[in-house]
Amino acid sequence: MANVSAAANTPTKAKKVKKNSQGAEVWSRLKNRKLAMIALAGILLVCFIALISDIVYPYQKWAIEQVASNKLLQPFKDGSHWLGCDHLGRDMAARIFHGSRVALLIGVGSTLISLFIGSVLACICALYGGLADMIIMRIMDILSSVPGIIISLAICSGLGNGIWQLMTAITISGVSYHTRMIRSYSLSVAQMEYVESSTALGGTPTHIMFKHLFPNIISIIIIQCAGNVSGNILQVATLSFIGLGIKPPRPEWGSMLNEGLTYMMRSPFMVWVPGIALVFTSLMINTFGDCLRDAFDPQLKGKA
Amino acid sequence: MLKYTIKRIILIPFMLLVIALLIFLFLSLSKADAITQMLPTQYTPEDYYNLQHELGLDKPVVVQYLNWVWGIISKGDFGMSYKTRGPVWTEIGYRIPTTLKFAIVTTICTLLIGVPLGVLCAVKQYTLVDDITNVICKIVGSIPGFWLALVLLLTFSLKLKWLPTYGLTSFKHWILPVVTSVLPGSAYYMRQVRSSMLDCIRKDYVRTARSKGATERTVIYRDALRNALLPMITITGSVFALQMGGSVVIENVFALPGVGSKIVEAINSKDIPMIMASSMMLAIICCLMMLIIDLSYALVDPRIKATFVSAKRSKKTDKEKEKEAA
Amino acid sequence: MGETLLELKDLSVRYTTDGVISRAVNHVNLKLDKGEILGLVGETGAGKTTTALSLLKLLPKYTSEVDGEILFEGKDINKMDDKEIRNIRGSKISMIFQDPMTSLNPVFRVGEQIADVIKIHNEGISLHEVEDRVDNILTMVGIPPSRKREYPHQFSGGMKQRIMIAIAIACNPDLLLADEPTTALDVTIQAQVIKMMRNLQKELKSSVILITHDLGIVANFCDKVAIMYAGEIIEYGTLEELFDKSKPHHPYTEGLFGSIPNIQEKTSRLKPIFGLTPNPAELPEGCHFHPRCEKCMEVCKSGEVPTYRNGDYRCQCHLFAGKEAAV
Repeated sequence: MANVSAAANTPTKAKKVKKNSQGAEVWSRLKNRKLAMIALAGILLVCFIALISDIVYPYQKWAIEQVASNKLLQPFKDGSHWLGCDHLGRDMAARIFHGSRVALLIGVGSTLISLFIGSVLACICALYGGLADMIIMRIMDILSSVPGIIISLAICSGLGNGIWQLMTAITISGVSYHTRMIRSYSLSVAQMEYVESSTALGGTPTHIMFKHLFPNIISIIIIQCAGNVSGNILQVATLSFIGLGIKPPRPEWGSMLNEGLTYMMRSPFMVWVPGIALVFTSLMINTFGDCLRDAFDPQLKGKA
Repeated sequence: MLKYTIKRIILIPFMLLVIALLIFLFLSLSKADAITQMLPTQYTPEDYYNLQHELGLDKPVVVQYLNWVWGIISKGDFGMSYKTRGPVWTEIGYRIPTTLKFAIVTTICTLLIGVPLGVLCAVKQYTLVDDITNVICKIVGSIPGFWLALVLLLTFSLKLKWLPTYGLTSFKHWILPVVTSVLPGSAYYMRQVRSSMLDCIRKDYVRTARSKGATERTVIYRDALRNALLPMITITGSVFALQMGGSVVIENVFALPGVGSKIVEAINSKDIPMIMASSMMLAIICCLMMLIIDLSYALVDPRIKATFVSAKRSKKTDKEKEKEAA
Repeated sequence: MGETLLELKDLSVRYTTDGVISRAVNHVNLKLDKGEILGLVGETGAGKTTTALSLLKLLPKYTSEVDGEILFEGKDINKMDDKEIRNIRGSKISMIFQDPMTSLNPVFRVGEQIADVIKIHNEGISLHEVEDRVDNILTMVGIPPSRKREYPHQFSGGMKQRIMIAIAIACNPDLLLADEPTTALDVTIQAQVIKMMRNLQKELKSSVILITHDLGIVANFCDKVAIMYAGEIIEYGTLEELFDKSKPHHPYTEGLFGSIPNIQEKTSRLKPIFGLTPNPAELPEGCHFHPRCEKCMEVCKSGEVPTYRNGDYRCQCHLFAGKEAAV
């Protein structure tokens, strides 16, 4: 019965998309998912906020400057401070806006860097095999045998506070995950029969790599990235929350929550506002990642 | 099987040594900070060098590391705390049971919620139950543990005043920390169980079971579930590691007397030996747990067990018997 | 032969996936007597497996729709509720699946898997008796009973298929559905398994529906043959009738025979059938075979194709118009 349904689907769909590339096909599937479009809009909104934060709320004047009279101003009381002010009288909205920059920068940045390092390591493993493969994989095994946060904690406390330090910590703890995933996927693709037949037909390693290996694992890499970005954003917030993040005056959602912890009784909004920003961003990215996965591989739909 | 077990057990100290080296290297980057923090605000370079010498920080990092390792092996000594100037172990030792107890309780709760929910969703795929559970899981999966902790504290302890805010003295104290840890964990676990179960429900052997005339209940809860839960054993390992990692944050928010909250405290006071010892404690517990889980997996799955026990024998006899049958 | 065991009346099965309706089985009429062996022959995707699964109501619940009657011992299987069909599955009708590698549950011992069927259909049977019967059945399929404590992965493909057969015959079924039982096996093992199945059939006197695309196996094993194409039975008759080259056949049947080598005849090349099985979601108008048929005529391209009968023999092709008496 699998035969029948497969036969029923492929020819009709293949006709429509045959000429388009994989990217166009994925996009056309995404366009038809309302949820995917909502999530994409959400992500774009966060990006937009990060872009305009300097224009709407100049950094020095709004996000840093402490105004004693505005201390713990409740939200929606004052027209110019619609999200209220924190315990030092700094505008919450401005801090949230500027915080989105840190979140996106580290979230996306460390994902890309660790993905790059991971891909290179995975390529070395796959190309040279043997000893190199064994050594790299053993190190990755060791790294992933302890909770990632312990490694990040050690790195952060060694390097001190700051954006770059935080980014390094999160990148390093992400490398082992990426290396393992990419390596195992490329190995499973390399064992496929179509690769074998291409080799038998005289395909060179580069030909196989770009024609077979790359297109097949690119979707997995993209999906993996989407999930990783939101994971990293949460990780940044977590590290900042326990006091290992950005240097203090710079606004960051996690450290804002840490400050909120102290004033939770009187001003619960200091916990709600940054938290909602954080959850919204990560939820949108996660949802979009899930939709992306469905779009790349309709067969996987509804699973996992 | 025995060979495999021994191999795994021998491997653990090596893994821990590598992890310890990594952490040690990173932490030694901040030794200058650590020293200045211990000195009074006004200090001379002499004071600095004296203290550096006293703490053994003037030696090369590798020598420091080897000294540290040797101290543990020969005397079980994890070093002296910079802050209290007392042995680190007395600070950490009594905290381990709390962390361990907490991680085990949360892992068990995660399984108790995750497995039935995952199975339910897989069996009721395409129904409202599945959809709602999925949406909830997605949302819970996007909430960072510490914020969840804050929100729960805010509503149940501060607003409603039903539950205490910190400590672990009574059953009531356990509720919030456990719920905070279990929610994200079981959302993750449930999704894994669901997808594994969906995979298994579509397998040929499930159809075989139906063709035997077994009831749908038997087919799902015996033939499919048993296969679906096998890969879950490994996932349990990562859930446990997740809970251990999460304990750092949760213990901090709820002020639980565990190893995790000690790490944060030590990091803030730049107490390097304390950071070393407490993070290694978490790593050791994790590694041991992983070992137990891997071994139990090998014991439960007949296919894996066979590769250790009797791979050669069974293949050979099979061929011989094929011939006999012919 | 004797009395009718199974009768399919106008059986149709449709699958709906993503709003696309596939007509996998179309208006199939079939009759099977007790003790008879029917070969159901056709290409991949012809609807053979779907037909077999519909006899056990094993088709996916939500995406498939079965019309028509499936009369088994006079009762319509299609109208049975879950409980009734469960009593039939495994005890009266049982099925041997195509791929023995995936059809056995990897986490249960093979003995348990055979014992399952016996326990399900014999309530209150003693454990000792179950064990005895398992041993018995294993011996029948040529596996030493001592191996019942092993797991499926410890057996080779041929041995696994023997276990599948053991499960299927454990309750002495009246009807055995064998869905390409040998396709996944080596040729040498195939012969063994077929030989064993024939012996078992003689011993148990069950009816068998053998689904295959291997005409050699059909020739060795079956009494009646039904050729399936695009969900329809296009030709049906006794083994002798269908394998008699002096008689006219459906062009598709001829094509099937033309694509296997024959040592007795001298032909320079095999004659393959061109083209592919039609997509069940977009079946061609008229005779479903006409786009691939060498003898296609104008009438074939639209409208219903009548069935021409001669006794039990029947054929669905315009070429037979007016020939009923002559055949």
